[in-house]
Amino acid sequence: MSRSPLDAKVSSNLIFILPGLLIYGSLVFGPIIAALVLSLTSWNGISAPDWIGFGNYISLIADEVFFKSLKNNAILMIFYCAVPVCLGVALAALVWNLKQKEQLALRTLLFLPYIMPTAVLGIIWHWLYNPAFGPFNQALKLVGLGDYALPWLGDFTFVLPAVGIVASWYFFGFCMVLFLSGMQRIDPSLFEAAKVDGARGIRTFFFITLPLLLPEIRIALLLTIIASIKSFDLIFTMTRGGPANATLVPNIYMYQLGFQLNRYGYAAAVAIVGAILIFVVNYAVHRLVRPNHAGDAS
Amino acid sequence: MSQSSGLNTTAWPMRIILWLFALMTVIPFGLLILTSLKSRPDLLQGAFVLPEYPHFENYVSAWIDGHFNVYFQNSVFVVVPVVTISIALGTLTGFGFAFLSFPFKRTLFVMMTIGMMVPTEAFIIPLYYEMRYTGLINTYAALILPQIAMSIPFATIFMASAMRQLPQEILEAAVLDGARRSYILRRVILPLMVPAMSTLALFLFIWTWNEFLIPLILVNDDSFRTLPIGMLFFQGRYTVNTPVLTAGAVIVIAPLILAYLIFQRKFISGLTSGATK
Amino acid sequence: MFRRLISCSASPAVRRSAVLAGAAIIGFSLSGMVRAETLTVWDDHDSESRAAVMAELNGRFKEAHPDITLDHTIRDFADLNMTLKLAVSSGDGPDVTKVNQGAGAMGLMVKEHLLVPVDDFIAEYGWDKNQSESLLARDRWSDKGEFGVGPTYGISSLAEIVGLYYNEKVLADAGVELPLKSFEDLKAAADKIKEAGKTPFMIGTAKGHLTLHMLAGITQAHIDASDRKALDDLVYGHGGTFDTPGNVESAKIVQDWAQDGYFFNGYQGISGDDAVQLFVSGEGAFLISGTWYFGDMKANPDIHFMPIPGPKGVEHPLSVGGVDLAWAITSIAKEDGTKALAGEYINYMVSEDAAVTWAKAGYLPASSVPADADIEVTPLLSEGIKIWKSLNENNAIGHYPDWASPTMLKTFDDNTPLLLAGQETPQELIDKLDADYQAYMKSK
Repeated sequence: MSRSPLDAKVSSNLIFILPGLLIYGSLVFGPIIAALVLSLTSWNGISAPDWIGFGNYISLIADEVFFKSLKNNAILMIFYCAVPVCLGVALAALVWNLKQKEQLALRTLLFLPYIMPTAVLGIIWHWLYNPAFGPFNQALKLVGLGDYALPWLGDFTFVLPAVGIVASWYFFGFCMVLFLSGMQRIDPSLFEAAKVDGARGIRTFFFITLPLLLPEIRIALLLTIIASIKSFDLIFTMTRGGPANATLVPNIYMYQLGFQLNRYGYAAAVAIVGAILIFVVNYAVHRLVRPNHAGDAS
Repeated sequence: MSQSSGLNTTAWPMRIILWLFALMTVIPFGLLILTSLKSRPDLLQGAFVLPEYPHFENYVSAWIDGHFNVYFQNSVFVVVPVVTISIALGTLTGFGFAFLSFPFKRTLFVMMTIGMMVPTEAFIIPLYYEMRYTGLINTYAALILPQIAMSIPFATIFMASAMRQLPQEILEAAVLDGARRSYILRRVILPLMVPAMSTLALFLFIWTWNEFLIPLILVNDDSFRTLPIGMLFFQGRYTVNTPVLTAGAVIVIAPLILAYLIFQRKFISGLTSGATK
Repeated sequence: MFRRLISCSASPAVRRSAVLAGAAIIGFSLSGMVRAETLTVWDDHDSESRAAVMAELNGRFKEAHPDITLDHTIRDFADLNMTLKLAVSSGDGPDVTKVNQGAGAMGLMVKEHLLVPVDDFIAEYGWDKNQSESLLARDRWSDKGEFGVGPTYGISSLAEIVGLYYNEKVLADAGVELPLKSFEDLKAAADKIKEAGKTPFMIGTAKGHLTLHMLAGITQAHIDASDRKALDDLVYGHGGTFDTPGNVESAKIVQDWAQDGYFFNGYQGISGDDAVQLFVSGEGAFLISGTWYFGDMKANPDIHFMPIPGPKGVEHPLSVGGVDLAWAITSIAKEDGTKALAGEYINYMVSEDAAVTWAKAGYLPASSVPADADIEVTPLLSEGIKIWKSLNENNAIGHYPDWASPTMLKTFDDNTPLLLAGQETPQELIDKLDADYQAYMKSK
């Protein structure tokens, strides 16, 4: 790397980066390392922690509740990732053909949930789903579907999809906008060429648009998968992991173990596993979803 | 140039589907606002029935009795310093990572990216105890300092990549003129960074305004709660008074919607392009 | 102070170094921590009508102490349980708080020295004159972790009975004759209402503990006051078992009701508070919960209250209940001045004046209200007072079973939805509860 003309001696360079690094190191990176160490101990928050090595991680392997939370998280991924990405791609393809003004209006509306606090969205949807007072079941009854007016957030079969759909609702507009911006990048002459070749709408979409959108799809997958592993606010405000752990995810489990049952070491281990999962997913998505011209680019 | 030129316009059924989705997105917010203007007897008439006249007193109840005035004030007190200080620090560190050399630069950069990926939940327990030992639980500092720290990696990387795109000649010319670095940063680079900084500000505003876990864990005193967390505890108390609850929700999201409508293009382009970085 | 902070960031922010701004925040927050004569109070009076009573009482306490600041926070039961111990152990929480009796909250907090005994105040103010020994025993924990003996760590201002709310009109419409004299009558009435196409039981299980109240209420209504020793021993941690025929039987009854459509359709998705609101609006014939809903229930004059009737042959059936969460002083109130102020505050909360204020709002105070007090007693409240008196005379006030171990409430919450959904048999539920209890007994 060529030296910047602005570079000077290290001691005076450090003045620029030290304030930021210090506050970051002491309040984020330090605690991350501390969590790693803590996960190797048994600690009730009061007496001195006992060093137990990988004991917590070994216990996790046998912990049914933890596996339940992982399973729930895997199911939630369908709603966090698959639904919004598929829907986003389809809607983007449709919106793409609209006139500028209508396109802008739809983008503005569909993007709206993404800027909201998920905690508050959880509270709002909690009310929408209320079987006695909530609008959702009232609407079902109005259109004659009263038999399907279920106690969504209390029903063991439907509670996970009910929570998941909120996540889909939150993400699909964002995905669509992301894909639209990707389509803007695509060279219009490609479409023209396809047209000359006589390719029709759907074929153009699958053979030209979709492959060229791979970078955006990769980003959307990454973001939504990570969001699903991080999920806490939405579930905390909607169900707190209930009923009977039917919507428990690792982060909620971490919260219960730590701040309610004072098993801080074990809770830290749960949190670390979640963080590791994020790194694994990140790596996997980077490896698996590669733009097909990745070979010639850089 | 219209990008849709040459392609056939979408058929009506498709447009109806699109607008149905748009409707689906907006209806919850519409119902929210509608319900926030009802009385409790109105509510029993059904969720989709209009009230006889709007009951704005629900907002007064939420604002005063529900302490949303306190929560709102706290949210502002937290967002303003977090956004300004994070941008200032991010600019400085970003400048460092973009132009300066120092030991362990690569390692430090990796440390930063780790901080961007690891969820707050992973280190909230040590952070909580750190705040406890320093006596900062139930202070604005407990809300502000960690959120600055959490914003620094993104702010740094964002600013560094923006600065690297500056034309090299401008910087060289400035150095040749004999200007000091702090002067160049302030007078040459910063003015060019205003668009990037405003996008960054938008990000940090949304993240900080919406933050849930930090105030949930690090403060327990009602007088320090921010809006989302105030909303949570308010829900516990007012589950049966839906109009006031929904009025509270509107108070939380109104500033976001307002900002969104004003800076709409910047929001969409910023949040999506920010995501691609 | 904030003006300084804001002006600092709004003035050409770049000119001042960011470090300075950071220092300003720390300085600000530290100065914010020094409080002059502030009493921080947490309570659990989260319903609107109870919050209104508290606002009135706090207002009058402040009038009497114009020089102090009252920093008052309301938390619902779940959030209080979740945050109280954490807050006090962090050294920054309430001076005075409501705390749930039993091993889960008060017991653990005493063990970690987070609560201060109030015996001196009891002697000073004579609280024991207004409240019976058996009620005060519920706030006692010894240094060795024994429940029911040792120093007293709190005192309550309200009495609680978990009983049967019934809607007279709904019952009459279905042709049910009152009074219900036995548990068999209650079951028959439920059947009759079900046949009439109405909802026998209003209940909501998404939040709150109505299932727990129903289960415990039915079990203990089958215990005669003369046979209460096993229950006392169990809750006070002397040992015993949850695996009794009575427990299994009542779990079975409740499960059958849930499975056969005796509960409000959609009960899994609404909270206990929602259920109360629906009940007040006329939905459902019965609702089993506590007297703390009196203030809400009085809005519907058809609603009455009675103890859950025992089966034939049980002369004095137990009613779950006792007192509401206790007022306690935490270790945060270190200084003598704060402690004295805290004592004074609690003294006001259990005073005659406070009792009258509660009664006026329709609630059942733990201490008796003077006969000459100028209050219009609601029919519901006069039923409550009568029951409270007779329960006390017969020594028939039962226990909340979740007091038995620190994790019992969570074990109930995690398993009762499975019972109602038919995913767990009554015996499996009881086994889980007993496993929890035995593990706690072993750990003591």
